[in-house]
Amino acid sequence: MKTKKKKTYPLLWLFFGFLLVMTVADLCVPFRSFSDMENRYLAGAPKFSLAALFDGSYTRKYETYVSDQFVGRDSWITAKSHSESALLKTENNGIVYGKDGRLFEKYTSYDEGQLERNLDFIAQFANKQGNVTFSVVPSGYVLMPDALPYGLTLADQETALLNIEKSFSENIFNGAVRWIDTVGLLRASGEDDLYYRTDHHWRVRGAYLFYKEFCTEKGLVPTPAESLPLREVEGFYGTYFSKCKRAGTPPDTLTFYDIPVDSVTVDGVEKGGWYDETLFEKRDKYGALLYGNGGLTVLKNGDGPRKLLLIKDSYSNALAPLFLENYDAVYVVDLRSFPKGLEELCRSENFTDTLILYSFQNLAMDTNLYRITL
Amino acid sequence: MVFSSLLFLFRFLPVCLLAYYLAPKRLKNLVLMLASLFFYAWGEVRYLPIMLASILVDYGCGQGLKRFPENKAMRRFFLGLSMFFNLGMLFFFKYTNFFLENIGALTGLSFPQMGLTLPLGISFYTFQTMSYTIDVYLKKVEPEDNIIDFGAFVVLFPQLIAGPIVKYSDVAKELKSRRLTPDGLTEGVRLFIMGLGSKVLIANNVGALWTDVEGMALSAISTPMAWLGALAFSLQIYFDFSGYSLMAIGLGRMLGFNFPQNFNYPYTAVSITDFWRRWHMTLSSWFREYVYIPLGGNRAGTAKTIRNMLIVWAATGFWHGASWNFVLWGLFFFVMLVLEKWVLAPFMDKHRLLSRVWVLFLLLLSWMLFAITDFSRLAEYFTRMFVFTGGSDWLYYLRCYGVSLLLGCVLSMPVLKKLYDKVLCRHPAVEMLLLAGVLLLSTAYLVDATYNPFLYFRF
Repeated sequence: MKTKKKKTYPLLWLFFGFLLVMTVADLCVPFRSFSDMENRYLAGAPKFSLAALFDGSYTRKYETYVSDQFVGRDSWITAKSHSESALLKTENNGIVYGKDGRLFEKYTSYDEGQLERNLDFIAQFANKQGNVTFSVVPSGYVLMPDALPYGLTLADQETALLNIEKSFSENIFNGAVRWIDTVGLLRASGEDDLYYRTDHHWRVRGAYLFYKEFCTEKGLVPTPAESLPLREVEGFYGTYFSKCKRAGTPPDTLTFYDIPVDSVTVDGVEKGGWYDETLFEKRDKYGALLYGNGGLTVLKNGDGPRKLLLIKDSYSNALAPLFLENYDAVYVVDLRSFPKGLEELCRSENFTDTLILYSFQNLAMDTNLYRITL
Repeated sequence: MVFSSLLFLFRFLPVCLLAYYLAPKRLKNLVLMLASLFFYAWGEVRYLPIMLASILVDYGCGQGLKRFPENKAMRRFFLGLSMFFNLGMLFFFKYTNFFLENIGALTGLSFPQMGLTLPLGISFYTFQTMSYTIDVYLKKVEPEDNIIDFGAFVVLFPQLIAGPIVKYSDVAKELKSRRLTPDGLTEGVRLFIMGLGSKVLIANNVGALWTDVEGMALSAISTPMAWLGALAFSLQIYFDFSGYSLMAIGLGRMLGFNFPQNFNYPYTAVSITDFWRRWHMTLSSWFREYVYIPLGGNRAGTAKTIRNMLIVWAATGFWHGASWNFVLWGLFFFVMLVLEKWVLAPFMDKHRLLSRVWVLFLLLLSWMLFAITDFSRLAEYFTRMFVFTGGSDWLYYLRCYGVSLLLGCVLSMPVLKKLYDKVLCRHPAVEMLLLAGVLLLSTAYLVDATYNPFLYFRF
């Protein structure tokens, strides 16, 4: 039986057309080596070898390559974020949507063993070095539990920090370590905007409060905040935002004290200043400070003898220059990109004071802290 | 390679379909076999020889059986050879470490663990090829002479990795001649997109909730949270597995095959017996046909029926994984089925609504047996479920996942399907819009997820 009306098959056109157009477009789209949004290098085509084929790494890498280079990758990811919001989800890609547009990481547990090991490395180092100040910066949610969505409990950093403080005060470190209670310090300030809304870092205000406390602890006179040159960079979307891409998130303002520094070297290379002005135009604005996380960054004002050794993660990137108000030089070490041990550095530089400052999450996660003992 | 990946959708599938559609009829099976071998080798090139051996051995056994139509001893030999080879491989790769561990635990000896990874889809294709040899032995089907047609059946990529378990007799005719029609293709595309959506948009979404619950310290979760987790896992495994089956069936249609249905709204079952007629239907029918009935089924008295059920359900459980919790999971169904058959049946027949609730309750429990491999954690989880522990943790998760869970619940019932058949078939534009939306959103979710493992991938 023949039908008079010719049948059309729109679904076939839709499906096969979509596959074909996307495939061809994907093959034609130019190679992208870096994703500004994801802040990482994207995978390129893997090299073929029989060995790589047989151990499965070739096909695995090829799949990563295809998804990393997929046509319109960023827009697809944004579309997924919007779809999650349409499902009334209050999180996306591990980022929780808190009150007042605040974003938080859904940090529900951490590696207690790694934390333990890292504390042990710090203790070993402190015993050798002497005169070490140690502190841990909590994540933003610790100070603003009410900003979390109702019912959500995240990892209890505060108890962990109390335990750390206790173990230090119980003198097992022979008084070689001075502990600064940053949670208590930030809480006592009564300020509620110490962290960025779209980024995991604290704002420079938090860093300043720490600086003040550190000075008091050391018997130094902190420079009042009012007399420091504050600089603001508008349009800052931090790491939390780039993970979740929540629609309608207003940007943060990146703030730091634009302290003049005479000489800056990052891993031996001389720089014109302590931050990378060009990055303020890009998405990863925070990465401008100290040029990211170099292994050894030396900030100097003059050639005086008072030197601070600061062992840190990225939470100290806006803080480090503040110490030049009270020291002649600050040696900033980020162990993640500092493969050597510290022994040689400590011997040649004869530091006046040593500060170890980590964010809680990094302290519980970082596997490079053993380098501190080398 | 899994169906729900960019690589499959935007590299393998277009090339494979293009080659398949353009190939002349007599070469289609060859194209299909080569494409499927590539598909298989992509995931595990080292195990390609096993796949080839599997094709050769079962092809050879079929030919052997053809050679000796009357010689009973030889026929038994070839059947035995095929069973030994297929089951031997399955046991070797899937259960060796499990047995070594348990023998070690019993005797106090310690054996080194063997670094075996399970060849992709081995639980599925060994069952498929065994169905061939057994059916040839029983003279239910003609042995296949063309090794390319046979090879295409064994390694056929749509059902290779996670079912449905397609018996040779299901597709024997279509291997020789099948028609590609635009209507068939349309239906295939429709099923594939729906399967993709089930897996990517629903299973993965509610699965994230179960992943959260699994990661929590069980001592800290509240009772509502534990039930929410069980619900999430139940929906996840259903949409994950049935979605994969739908994609496979849809792809089969696009290639001109009609694969058997694998799921039929299992969560609307009125009894556990009914559930197993609706869940992973090709597996239960395989066990019924090749284990339960040959053992005598239910025709040899109550005691033997119970024995046969015990064997089938222990085997079903064990098939799902080399771990005691899967055996326990199978035995749980054995107990419930026996209870149902001899005790509860009269009551359940009269109270349909109550039976449905009862079945869902049992299924939620059974999925926890399935999901939690560690017995002490399992015990703790059940304690959370049945000894009331308060807390507000579940509020956040209900708020966050509520819509997804609701969507999953509604889609597990035939309500929307009925609506779909009634309304959307008459409005093709609306259906197009819907399917296009599912396709686009699925792509967005696939791009977003770098890691996208299938629950049923390592079975």
